[in-house]
Formats: sequence, structure tokens, C-alpha cells
Amino acid sequence: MLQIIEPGILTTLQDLGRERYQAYGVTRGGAMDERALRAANALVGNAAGDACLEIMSGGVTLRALEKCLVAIAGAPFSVRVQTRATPHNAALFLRAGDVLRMDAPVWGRYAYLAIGGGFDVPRVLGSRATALRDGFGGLDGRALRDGDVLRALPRDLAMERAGRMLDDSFARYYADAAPLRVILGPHTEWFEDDARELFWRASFQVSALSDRQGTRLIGAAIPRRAGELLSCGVTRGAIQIPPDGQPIVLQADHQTVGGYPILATVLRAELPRLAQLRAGDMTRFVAI
Amino acid sequence: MGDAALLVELGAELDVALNARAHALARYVETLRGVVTTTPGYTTLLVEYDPALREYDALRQEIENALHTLDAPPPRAARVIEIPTRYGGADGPDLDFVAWHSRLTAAQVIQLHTRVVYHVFMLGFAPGFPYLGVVDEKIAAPRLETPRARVPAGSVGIAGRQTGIYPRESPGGWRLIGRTDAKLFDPTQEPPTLLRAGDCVRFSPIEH
Repeated sequence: MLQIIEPGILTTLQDLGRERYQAYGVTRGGAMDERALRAANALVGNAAGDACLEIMSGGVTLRALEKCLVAIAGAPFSVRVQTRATPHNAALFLRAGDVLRMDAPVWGRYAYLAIGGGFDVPRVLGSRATALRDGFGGLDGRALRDGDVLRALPRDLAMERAGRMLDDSFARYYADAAPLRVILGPHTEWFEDDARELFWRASFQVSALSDRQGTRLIGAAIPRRAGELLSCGVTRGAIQIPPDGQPIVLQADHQTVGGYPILATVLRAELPRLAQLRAGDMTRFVAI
Repeated sequence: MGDAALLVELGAELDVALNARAHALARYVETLRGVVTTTPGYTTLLVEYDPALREYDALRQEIENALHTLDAPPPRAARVIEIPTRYGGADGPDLDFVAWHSRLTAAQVIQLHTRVVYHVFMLGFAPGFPYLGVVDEKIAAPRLETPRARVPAGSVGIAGRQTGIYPRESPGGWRLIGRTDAKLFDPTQEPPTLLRAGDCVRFSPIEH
């Protein structure tokens, strides 16, 4: 059982989202960085898709109301238990009364705190993920606030897991500065050859307006045909080009249908790396 | 669309028969191995699949084969759902604009809006938001130049030759002509929406 003392900028309960309700207009949602959520769950011995806290940019303080096993994985927040500095990407044993503090990471945006057994909130449409825009799932459909108390589903404490750490390959993946790999299309006919050339050549800066709906990019304006598509279903990672030519990469909470042409779509395996980019970071794309 | 989804494009024209074909294809594709979910658009079907279970080329081939045999989609009796609606006043702040724009009276706009049995092309924008058509050309109205920050739940709007209903309070740019108390989205229900793609909808005016 954990109590929120300081909720930070945006802390929500997330899992792997609701994948079967897009036809009803329900966003898939779930963790921005599924890789880190799975890793945090693995450290405490949970199922891959158990609910975790998704913490954006740190500034979070929690108190353990009873002993528990937790793990934090993802952006390398500086983590302290009471006054002790504690490694990130590791499982920790907390005693009743311990205060856990997570501060700004040196890189990255999102980290996941898993608790042994997984956080206990009702499943809504098959998932515990918070649908923030639509106000359901997670804890009453909202971001966490100070004073909130979160319970874990009952499970024997796997004490022997305390101190376990992810190996270096976990963090190395995020350090890769190579361009994000994409597959061209589907709306290639909306773009001339020189527009595509420009897209491959350009470096884009991540905008401060990026959120759980989309990563907004600033850079060379990509020219496209005027007009609007008849809206079609869209998927996470799709790179939409609105009339101003500044790309938007759809993220976890994207709307289910869209009317902007999609120049290319980011590979699934690249989405965690993209999700961890922060405002001001630069990125490029390469076709496979 | 990436390495875990493909987009089937059935045409480029806004057309009820073409859209019904997308829904029929969805019912078939949902049964295929490795398919996670499908999302119909106006003239398209987005198919999301698990690349660990299914190769793109094989899935694409199977869907292409199905398209050839899908010319007569299995008949499915469309449900007709009635939406009781209060037109005008505070419930429909743009009714007078639509009347002015169409050079009709407000009563004529209401009559033209309630006369048509609409087809649910798709749900999107927000959970349970139906894209309905086709609106009589005489009352087709442009979107607001600046969308409203807050459109009340249940608002009925027109945008071009589409009409729709806002399931919850949200920003929105459609011209609002009325409002309903019908509950369009309830995440505790299965399925969670009042309307589904392929349904028929009729608006009935409530006197007030």
C-alpha cells in the first residue's frame, strides 16, 4: 500500500492498454514506454501487463504504508529511500513508513513503478490504464493527487527479488542515437518526391507541446497536397502531416481516427525510444 | 501502416454502400489468426495485427482474396436507433446560423434534419461519437472557424454533410443545432457505445 505525498507533474496508473475497442472510438492508451513498464513488472515478478505508476519527469514522493517490494524502470530518475540514494532499474524493498523520492532524470521522460502483485484498481474495458481525456480507468479516470492511497493485489512478498537489477542492455537501447526506423506510407500519394527527400534529410526537434496523444516535431515544414482525407483509422507511431507541415507522431492516447495524411509509421520496436524524448531533443527518421 | 497494422482502402468517395463493405470486411477480418483489432473509416479498414503471429504478405493476401468474394456482404438487418433531440435555444446555439446559411427557417432545418435515416459511417474523435450521414445538401453547414473550447455532452452538430453527437463535454467545431439526453458512451457496458458502425439513426424532435 502506497500513499502519494507529492504527485509530480503527471502520474497515472497504466498497463498495456485496451486494444480491442478502437472501433468504438476508445483510445488504446496504456504505457508511453511499454518496454520500461514490462521491465519494472519483471523485476518484482509480476505479469508483463500488470498496472504500474507511470511517472513523468519526476518530482514524486510516496510513502509505503506497509512493507512492499517495488521496482522503478525507465528514465533514470534519481531515487532516494529515506535519505539513501538507490539505483534505478532495480527492485527495492520498502518498510512501512519508508519515504521514496524520485527526482528529475538526466535523460528521458517516463519511468514506471511496479509493486509486487500489481496495483489494484478495477479493470474497465479490459484494462487498468487511465484514459485521461475520457475520464475512466486507473484511479477514477484521473491523474494521481497527494493523499491518494494505492493498494496492491495480494501476493506473497518475493523478498529475494530485492536488489535485483536490469542488465546494461536495458539502458543501452535508449542511448542509441540512430535515426528512428519507419515504414513509408500509407498516404504516400499526398507527398511529392522532394517532400519525402526533405523528410529523410531533416532533423526535428521535439516540441514542448508533446503529450500522451502525440509527439509534436518542429523542423522543416514538409509540403503536402492541400485538402483533407476522409478520416481513417490510425495506429500508434503514425506520422501525420497537418497543413502546417510540422509532423505529429501518434502516441498512446491518440484519437482512433484521423484526417491528416500519414507519410510514414514508426516501427513498434522504436516507440519506447521515441516516447522517452523530451522537449528540445532532436530526432531523425530513416526508411527500412 | 507500420509493422503491426495495414490499411485497406476500398475507394475515395463518401458512399454508404462502400462504407458498408468496410464493415462487412471488418466482421470477416476479425476472425483471422493474429488480427488484434479493426477500425473502420469512411472508405477504409485499419487492421492491427500481431507481427509475431502473422506475416504481412500472407495477411494482405488473405484480405485481398476476401475482397473478391465480398461483393455480396452477408445481409445484416441494420438497427434503427431513435435519438430524441431538443432543437434550438440554448441546446442548439447554431440552429439560427444554419437556418440563415441555408436561407430556410429554423423549423425547416429541423424538418430536414429529422427526415433522413442516417447511416453510422464510423465512431471516432471521442468514444461513442458517431459520424452520421448523409445530411441533406440544403442544410450542409461549414465548421466553426474557431472551435468551441467546451461543447456540452449530448450536443448534436452538423459539419458539411455529416452530423454527429458529442458523447461527453469536449472541444468541438461542429455547428450545434440541438441536444439529446441519450447516453452514447458508458465504459461499464459491453459494448460500451449506444451506436455501432453500420447502425441506422433517426433524430426525433422533442417539443419544448
